[in-house]
Amino acid sequence: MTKHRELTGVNRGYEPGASAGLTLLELMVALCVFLILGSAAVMLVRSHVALYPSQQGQAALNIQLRNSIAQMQIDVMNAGVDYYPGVNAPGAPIGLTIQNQTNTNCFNSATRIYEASCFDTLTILAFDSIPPARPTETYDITSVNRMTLVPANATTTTAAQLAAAYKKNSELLLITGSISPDTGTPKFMTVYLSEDAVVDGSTVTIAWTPGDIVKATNLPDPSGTYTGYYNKNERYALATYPPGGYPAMTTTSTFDTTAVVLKLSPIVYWVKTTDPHNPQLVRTEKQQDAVIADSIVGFKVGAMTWGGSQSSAAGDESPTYLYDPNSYKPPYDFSLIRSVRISLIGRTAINPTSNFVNSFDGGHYRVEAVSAVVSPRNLSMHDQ
Amino acid sequence: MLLEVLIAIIIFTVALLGLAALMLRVSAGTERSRYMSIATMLASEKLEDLIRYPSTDPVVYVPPSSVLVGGLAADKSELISCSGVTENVIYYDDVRLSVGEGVVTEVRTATDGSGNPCYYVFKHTASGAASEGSCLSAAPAVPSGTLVFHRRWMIESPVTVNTTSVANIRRITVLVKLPTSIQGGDVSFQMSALRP
Repeated sequence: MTKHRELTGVNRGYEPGASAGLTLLELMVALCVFLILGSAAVMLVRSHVALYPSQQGQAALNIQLRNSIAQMQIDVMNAGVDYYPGVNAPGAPIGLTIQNQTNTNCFNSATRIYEASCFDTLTILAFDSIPPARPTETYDITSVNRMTLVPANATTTTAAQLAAAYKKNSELLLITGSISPDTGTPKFMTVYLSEDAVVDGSTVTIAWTPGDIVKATNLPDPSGTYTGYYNKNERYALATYPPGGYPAMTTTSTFDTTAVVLKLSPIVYWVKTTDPHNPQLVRTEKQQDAVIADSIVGFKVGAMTWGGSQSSAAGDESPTYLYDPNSYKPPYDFSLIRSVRISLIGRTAINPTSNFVNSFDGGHYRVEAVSAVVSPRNLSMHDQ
Repeated sequence: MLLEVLIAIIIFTVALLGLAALMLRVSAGTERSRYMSIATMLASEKLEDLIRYPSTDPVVYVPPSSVLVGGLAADKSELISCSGVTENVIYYDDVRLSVGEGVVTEVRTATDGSGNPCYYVFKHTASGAASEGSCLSAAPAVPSGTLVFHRRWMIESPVTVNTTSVANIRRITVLVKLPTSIQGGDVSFQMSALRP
C-alpha cells in the first residue's frame, strides 16, 4: 500500500512533514503580483473608458463631416444640370453662386459662440423639370410687373403644363438670348411669382411684385463703371454679395423673345445658428430644410475662377481659391466660377469637465476639419 | 497549490496583455481609418483639380508620342508643350494639414506659369476668415503635429478598355500616401477617373 501511494501520489499531502498549503510568504507574493496586475488592468480600463466617448465623438464627427462633404460634392458636380432642357439656350456657364462672409470678428472666445456671419452660403442652381419658356415680346422688367410667355418648344410642352408649374412664390430665372460683349456670357435676373400663372390660349402670364427689380446704385466696384440690377427679394440664387447683393456684370432688366425662362429649384447650403451652442449645417431644397451636420464651427467656400484677377501661362485663370467676391474679375461675377473648395470644420460635444483644450479655439472639445475641391461639370465642360 | 496559483496568474496576465494589445490595435485602427479618410478626400480633391483644366492645358496633356505622363512609383516632372505653351509639369505634390493656434492650415503644392513649384497656404481661422495666399517659392516651415500627405499622379491616353484602345479619353490615377508610418499600418490610397 505504501508503495502504491508513493507511485500514485494519492494523499501525499497528508504525509507527516509534507506541505499543508501555501505558506504566508507565498500567499503574500501571489497577492502582490495579483494586486500589481489587477491595478494595471483597472488603470488600463479606466483610461480606455475615459477615452472611449472621446473616440466615439470624434468618429461620429468624422462621419458626419464626410457625409456632408459627399452630399455637397454630388450637388456641386451636378450644378446647372438641366440648364439645356431641349432648346438651344445660350451656353453660359451657370451653376452656383457663393455668398462669402467677410466678417472676421464673428467668434466670441469667451462664450465659444459662432455667429451666423462666420459662415458662407453656397447655392446650387438646379432647375425644375418643367421645360423652358420664352417671352412673347421685349420686356423691361423694372417698368412692368407682368410678362406673357410661350413654351420654348410648343410641340413638347403646353401652356397649361407651364402654368401648372409656375405657382405663387416660384422662382424663375430669366436669361438673355444674346451674349453680352463685356462678359462674354448672357445676362440674368430672377423673379419671384406673386401669384399663380394664368393660361390664355397658347400663352401664360406671370406676375411679380412691382418694384422687386431695382437698379443698383452702389455697386461695389471701385471704378464705378459697372451697372447692374438686382432683385431685392433675392435670397440666394443670384445673391452673391450679402445682404441681398447683386452680381455686377451679369444682370440685366431687359429680355426679348430670344430670352429663356427657367424655373429654379435651387439647393442651398447654409449654417443655422438658431441654437448658438450648436450651429447646424443645413441643406435647403424646395424650401425644405434638412440638417446634415451638427456642431459646425467653420463653413467657407472658395472659388477658382476663369478669367480671374490673376493669370497663368496655362490660361487666364486664378491660381488661388478666392474667398472675397471683390477678387473676381469683374467683381461678383458668378459665371466665372470653375472650381470650388469647400472647407468644413466641426467639433465634438462640449465637455466642460474635460481637461482637454483644443488648439483651434481653446474649447473643451475636439475639432476636425475637412476640405474638398469640386469642379461643377456643367461649368468646366464649357471650357474643354 | 502554489503552482496552480502561479498558472492562474500567468493565464490572467496573458489575458490582460491580450486585452491591452486589443485596445491598442483598436486605437491604431481608428487612427488609421481617420488618415485613410483624409487620403481618400485628398485623392478625390486632386482628381477634381485635374478635371477642371481644359483639355489643351499642359497640366493634363499627353503628347502624341507618349501614352503616359507622370507616374506613381517616383516623383516625376516633364516638359510638356501644347497649344503653343511649354510648361514644366510636376506630377506630384504635398498637402500639409495642421490645426493649431486658432487656425486650420492647408498647404498645397502647385506650379506657376513657368513650371516652378508654388506653395499655396490656405488658412481658415476660428474668427471666420478664410484666405489662400499667393504663390510662395519656398515651402513654409512645418509646425509640429502637421500631417504631410504625398500625392503622385499619372495621366494615360489613349485608354485601353477590354483590349480596345479608346482615343480622346484620359485616365488620371492619383496615389496618396502618408510617408510617416503609423501604428495601424501604411496609409496609401489610389483612385482613378476618366475625362475627355
